[in-house]
Amino acid sequence: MVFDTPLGFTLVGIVVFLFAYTVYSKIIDRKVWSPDRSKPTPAHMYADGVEFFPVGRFVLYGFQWNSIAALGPIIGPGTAALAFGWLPAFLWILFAALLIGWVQDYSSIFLSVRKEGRSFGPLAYEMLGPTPRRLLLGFLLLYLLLIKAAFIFVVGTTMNAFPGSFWSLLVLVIAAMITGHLLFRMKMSVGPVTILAIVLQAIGIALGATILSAVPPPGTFVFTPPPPGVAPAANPYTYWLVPLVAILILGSLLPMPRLITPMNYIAYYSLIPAVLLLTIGALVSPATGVKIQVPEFRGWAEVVTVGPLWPALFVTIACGAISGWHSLVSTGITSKQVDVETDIRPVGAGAMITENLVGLSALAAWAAIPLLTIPGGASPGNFVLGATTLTSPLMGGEAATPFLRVFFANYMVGMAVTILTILGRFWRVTMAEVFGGTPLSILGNKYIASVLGFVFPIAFVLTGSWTNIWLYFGGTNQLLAGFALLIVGLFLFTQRKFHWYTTIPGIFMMATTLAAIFYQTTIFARALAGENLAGLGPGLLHVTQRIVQNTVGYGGVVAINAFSTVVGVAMFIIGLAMAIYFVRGFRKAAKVEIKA
Amino acid sequence: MSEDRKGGMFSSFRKAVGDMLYGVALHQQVTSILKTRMYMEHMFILMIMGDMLGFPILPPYYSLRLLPYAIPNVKAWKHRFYRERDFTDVIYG
Repeated sequence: MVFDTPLGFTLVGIVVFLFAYTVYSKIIDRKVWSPDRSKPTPAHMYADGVEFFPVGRFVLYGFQWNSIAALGPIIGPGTAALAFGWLPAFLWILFAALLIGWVQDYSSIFLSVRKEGRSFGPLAYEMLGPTPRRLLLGFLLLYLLLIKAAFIFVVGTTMNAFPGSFWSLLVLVIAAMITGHLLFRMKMSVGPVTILAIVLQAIGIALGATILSAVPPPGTFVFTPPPPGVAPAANPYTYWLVPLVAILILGSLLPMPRLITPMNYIAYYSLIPAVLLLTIGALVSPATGVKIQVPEFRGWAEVVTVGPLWPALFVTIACGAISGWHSLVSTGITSKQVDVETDIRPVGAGAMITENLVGLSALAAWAAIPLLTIPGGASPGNFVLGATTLTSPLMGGEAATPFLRVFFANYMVGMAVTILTILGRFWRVTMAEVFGGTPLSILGNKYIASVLGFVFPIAFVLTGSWTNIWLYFGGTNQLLAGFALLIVGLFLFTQRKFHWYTTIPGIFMMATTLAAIFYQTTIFARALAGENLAGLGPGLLHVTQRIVQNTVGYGGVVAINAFSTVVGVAMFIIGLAMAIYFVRGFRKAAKVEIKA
Repeated sequence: MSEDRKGGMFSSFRKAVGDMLYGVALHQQVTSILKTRMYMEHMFILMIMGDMLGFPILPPYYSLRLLPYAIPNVKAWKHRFYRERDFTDVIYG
């Protein structure tokens, strides 16, 4: 009765999450790191009121959660459930929540606090040397390309399935610019501005759910009517890329307080009610009659483009289980604002376990409707339909459905676009860092870097299969997490402390992600060689590639597959090189012990 | 006594929720604005660096008028300016 509804796994999940936080993380906290309230943290030692300053634990918890929550925990569980069934997806979330996810976030903060608030790059330099730091920089550029490609894909397909969400996003952008102006130029107080922002967002959702629910955006003409050979239902998201990328480039060029941070601010007023609604919807599902509609287990390797359960499952669910992005945030900002060492567990582990709950609530939504309900394989839209099915009985039934659909589509699109603008800006600054003062300094120019930052991901989006892009993204994201876990493990090893709690997950993530990247690279390489892997014709991985084929010929498909293969090879080589540097690091540290 | 305790618990709970909402909603903006300030301060102090060291690089009239505003921040600025910083420090500005 209970286990054929989302209630069963949600309850089990919540119990395991509580255990992870109250028991396991507490043991590690006490026995390994031994936090000391009297020890000054970098926030006090280097307090300057600008970068280093102490912040209360609840504020920092909210900030950490805000910074790590994005699209990953919403999309990953669904992709895994579509490929392997809901049970493997659920078990990976549980396993990661218990043993891996919080371990990375919490330990990264602690390491940085103990190392004077250093960020990931300087930590890699100190623990491993200058070459791994340069490798990390190259890896991060590829990572940024892939994460943007994956999220742009999801936003495009969601907008295509629910055009109203484009208009609600546009209202979100306008509301963010107004909010930024009122707060920082007009110096208005936060209360009235927040009310105005929420009202504007509600108007955007109402417009998207009613009069603008089927109105296409400007730029529609680019790929419409569908080129020959492309079914209308699958004439996908491509035309949504034009207005979307325009918004993203604007975000990466404007100063952060003008658009990015106010947009994040407003978007989180959707996140909290969305997560609460989904969790409550799952907990009362026996009463509302919502059953699990996705098969429990679909097989060890569902389709060739996804690959076998190991390694694919472990890179499919990224942020809802573990994510390398979190270590960048944890060491880059959070560690510089920790008030006392005893705050690190509630902030690092607490925020990550809340993120696991976001992943679990998303799984409940995905499981509430049968697979691939939306025609044309626009699978990200399944989340919106599932979330609406799960929550509409709580909100007034059928009458609320159009609003809930746009609300959840807006939630999904908002989560993606807020992080995409941050990533766009991060990419631009990193490009300036890499190419500034070199003969290629033109690539560091803020306009050229911003445009390139979205042109390359679009090449990936046109590459085709949603799963291939997502798995590439998951692979790089989890590999970065593996780096973070092993850097912490190496530090603990040099301190002669118990390091296995982070070294074993680190080794697991490194091996798994390298295997996943290798597998996906071979898929692109086989497509490049002209194999008919997806049953769509030689070299084609997804129906989208027919658009490229019809527009620029088969050479376009070859070029895109070659680009993806090259990126995959580069990531694999960097990952392997980093693994070798870690082995050397541990061996070097072991020799130091023998000498002592 | 127990009323007081209940009231205390309620107000701590309210403060915790308020802090969390502040952290979710506004702390990122504060962090990013402070970083912008940091970069401007770098520029500001570098402009008047000459006068601090006794070498008039800019016309001293202006930089000497600015000097009193810079002096209280010099210690913290030195730490920020010389701190090892790389691409992983620029996520939010």
